[in-house]
Amino acid sequence: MTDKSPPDLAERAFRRRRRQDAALVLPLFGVVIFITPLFTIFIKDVLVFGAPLAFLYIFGAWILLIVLARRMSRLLTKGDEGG
Amino acid sequence: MLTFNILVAASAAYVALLFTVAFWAERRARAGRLGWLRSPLVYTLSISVYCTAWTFYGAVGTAARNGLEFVTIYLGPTLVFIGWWWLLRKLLRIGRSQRITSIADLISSRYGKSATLGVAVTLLAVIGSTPYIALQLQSITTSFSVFSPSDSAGFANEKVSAFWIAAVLAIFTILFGTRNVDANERHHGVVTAIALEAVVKLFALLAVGIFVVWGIGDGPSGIFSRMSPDMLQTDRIFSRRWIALTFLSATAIITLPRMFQVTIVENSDERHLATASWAFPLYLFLMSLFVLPIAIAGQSILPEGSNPDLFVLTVPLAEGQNALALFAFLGGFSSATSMVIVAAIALSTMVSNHIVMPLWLSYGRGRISTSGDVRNVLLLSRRFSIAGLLLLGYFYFRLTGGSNALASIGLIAFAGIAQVLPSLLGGIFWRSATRTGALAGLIIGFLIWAYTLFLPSFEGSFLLSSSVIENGPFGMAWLRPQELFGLSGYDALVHSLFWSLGINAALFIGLSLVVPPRQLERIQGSQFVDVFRQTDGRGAGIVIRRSATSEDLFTLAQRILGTNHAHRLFTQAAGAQGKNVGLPDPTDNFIQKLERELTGSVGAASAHAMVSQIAGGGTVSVEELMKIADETAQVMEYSQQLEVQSRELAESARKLRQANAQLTELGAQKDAFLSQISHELRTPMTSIKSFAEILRETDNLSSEKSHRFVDIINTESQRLTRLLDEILDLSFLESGRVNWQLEAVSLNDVIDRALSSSEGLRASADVQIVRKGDSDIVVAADFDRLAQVFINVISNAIKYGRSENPTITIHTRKVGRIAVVGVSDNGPGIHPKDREKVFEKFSRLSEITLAGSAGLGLPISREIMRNLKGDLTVEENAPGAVFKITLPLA
Repeated sequence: MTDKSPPDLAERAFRRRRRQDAALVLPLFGVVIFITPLFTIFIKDVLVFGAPLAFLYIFGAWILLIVLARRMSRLLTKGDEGG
Repeated sequence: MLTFNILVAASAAYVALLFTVAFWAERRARAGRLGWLRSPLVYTLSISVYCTAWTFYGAVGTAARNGLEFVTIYLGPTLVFIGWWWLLRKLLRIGRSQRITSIADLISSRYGKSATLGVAVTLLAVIGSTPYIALQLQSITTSFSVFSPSDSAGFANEKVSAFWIAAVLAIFTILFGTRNVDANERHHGVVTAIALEAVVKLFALLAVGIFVVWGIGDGPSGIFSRMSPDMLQTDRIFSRRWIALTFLSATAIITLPRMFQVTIVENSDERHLATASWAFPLYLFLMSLFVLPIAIAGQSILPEGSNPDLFVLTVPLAEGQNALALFAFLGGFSSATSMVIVAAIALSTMVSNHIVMPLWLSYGRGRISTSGDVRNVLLLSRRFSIAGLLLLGYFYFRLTGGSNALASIGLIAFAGIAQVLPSLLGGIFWRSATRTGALAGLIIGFLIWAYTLFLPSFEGSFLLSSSVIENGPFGMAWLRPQELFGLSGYDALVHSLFWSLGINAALFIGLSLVVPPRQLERIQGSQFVDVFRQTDGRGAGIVIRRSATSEDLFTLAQRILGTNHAHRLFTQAAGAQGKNVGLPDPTDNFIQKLERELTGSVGAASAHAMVSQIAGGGTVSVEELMKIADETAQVMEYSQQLEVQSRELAESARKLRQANAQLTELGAQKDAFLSQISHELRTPMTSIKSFAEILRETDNLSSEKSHRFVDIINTESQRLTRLLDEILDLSFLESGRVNWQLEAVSLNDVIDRALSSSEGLRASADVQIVRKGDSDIVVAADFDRLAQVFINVISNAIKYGRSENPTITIHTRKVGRIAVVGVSDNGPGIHPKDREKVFEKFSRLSEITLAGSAGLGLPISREIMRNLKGDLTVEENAPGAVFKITLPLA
């Protein structure tokens, strides 16, 4: 994306729409990583950096979700003001 | 060694700090200097009231007993908050537009401002929350007892200390939680104090965690190496209970009265939610990060059989870290107090708005406009509710204190209030949800919850005997509370959740489909479901038969909102109606606005009842008038707007196309004109140039010849000048900026002038002039310009009207208020298809062309005539052409 010129209305509406869709997908992603069998892959008696893998998986995925949510909330509120 | 006195002094100092902070915040808010008191940070911290003493102490206990399962209590809220765009944002918008005061108010308002539903949800919330308040009191007293190994004097009487704690909390809540009647006005003091408590409990837990990991365990790998191999209990991960707990905690964050209070009611800015959407999960993340290490440390250094629920305190104590233990104690204390304070505010609002107010209304029916101060009733009822609720919690604690029943009450309470979920979600996403469905689902779900989970948790000591729990009532095995209808092999919580929420949702959906909604439910339904589509004030819907007098309404408003607020509201409304003095007219709009204003104080159902009582004289004739705001009306209006808009779009597109075609044509004309003009200018220029060259380069030119050449150059330059003059003249005329002084002019004089000007030309062509018609016509015109037109037309007739015996006839006559002059020749005439071309610039008529004219004479003449409010046209009069000049009489 090198084009910095302001996009037209339709393009802006499309982008906002896409951001909103992403905001809807994020919690679903959280559901997938926390309460589906995906979890069971990481439930192994393995220590990584001295900590159990399951522990690292939960807290790693958690902080990842928080980072994504932060990005998302910035994008969404920016969209509110700019568009 | 920490003595009882030190603990009491620390607690007292901490409570004093809370009072000071709350007082300071209230003062700042009152002075209008809110600043960071209204920041997203404070909002996020206040939401952390979710983390009670149960989670502060209990999470470590759960981790010690059930491994990683403790995180589910935090994962649910995390998912709800990162999905704020879905649910919380909508709840917030509805809460604001409908001025919702509590979760009970939300449900009641959505389902047609039903008083019954309000009562049902309130009772459910009180029954679910009282044990929870008792649990907080117990956690405080238990944490006191940790510091005394034996029953020494002060510690013994924990029941007494519980009472005093409850009393102090009641005073705090009454002082800062019932300052104003309008529940929508923020409790800045309380919220700020809660935010402070959030910081204290977070740092307390982090401090203990850091001490455990780096003070005892020598880093993360050190502490995890002490973990017993089966501690994580990984088989519990992704079990039914795991999913149920995550779901339950996600539900709790929406439906718990205290969570609704801080998240929705106390919110002052929608953007704060955007911040909280990631900041609150981060808070939960930090709260749970060290839970597992603390549990591991407790299990490895404390003797077998120690209570894991108290590891947060006992681990630092066992290591001799008294200051840290005191800090941890204050953390637990703050968790408990913040929960009790917010829960008491939320519940007291519900009790006063949905139980006391309707009772008061029905007792005082008909007297509302004549007696009693509603404000005082409201405030008093709230204060008594707070005291009553805390007293209730205290008695509950006295009755069941110390038993397992209380320890497990956290999840049980979650499951109880979760019964609101179907009506809540259905209410804001499903337009057809009805009051009947919501009420039936709610009550039956609640009864099933009580039967399968709440009562069995007393293990036979309350209502259900242990034999009934074991064998079912009257020995009917299929009704056994924890294996209902023979469903066995499930965790008691999962079992109860399945039956209660399953039947609740089924009844809700089924009855909503079968029983039609009342009008008011439909209106509220579309108001809630389409909250993002509404503009303010449209389709608000509650149109009441107007028998209300403004005086009655003012009296009512005054008594609920206070004199100042009511005065402001009524003055504004009167201003909006264009009245400078006096009360506003009781229009539908105004009555709706007033009702919404009152809703903020007494809840939707009570406000509706009060206003109806006055406005409708007790009878509300809603049914017919309400169609205005009905969903169909809304949809129709919406599609009509779309239609109008698309029609407008099509119209402007058509106009644009037309304008474009005109512009293209004009462009082509301009191009043709330019090429024509350059051609016209080029001809005289060429001859001037060539004769000038001859004069310069030929040395011995006879004087006669050179004289002739100079003559030609002179003529050509004159022609060039004339041409340029004509072009300028034409463009000036076409611009429409001419401003001639019109005067009375004798047409005959003008024609005489034109004839004498063209005499030379006429003589050389030997043309006869015949004049006919009236000779006394006076027109309004500019003499010189009109003469110019006649000269042009007559010269044109002389040039083109060639024949054997050329004659030009000039015929003048009056037609009504218009003078008409015809100038006709007896020449070859103009071909019909060339007729309009004679007025185009430079259009020499194909065959016959005379030198000396640039071809601009006729176009200029026509422009002059049009500027004189007349016209110049050409007509056929075989043989020959007729130019017709029309212009108004003077």
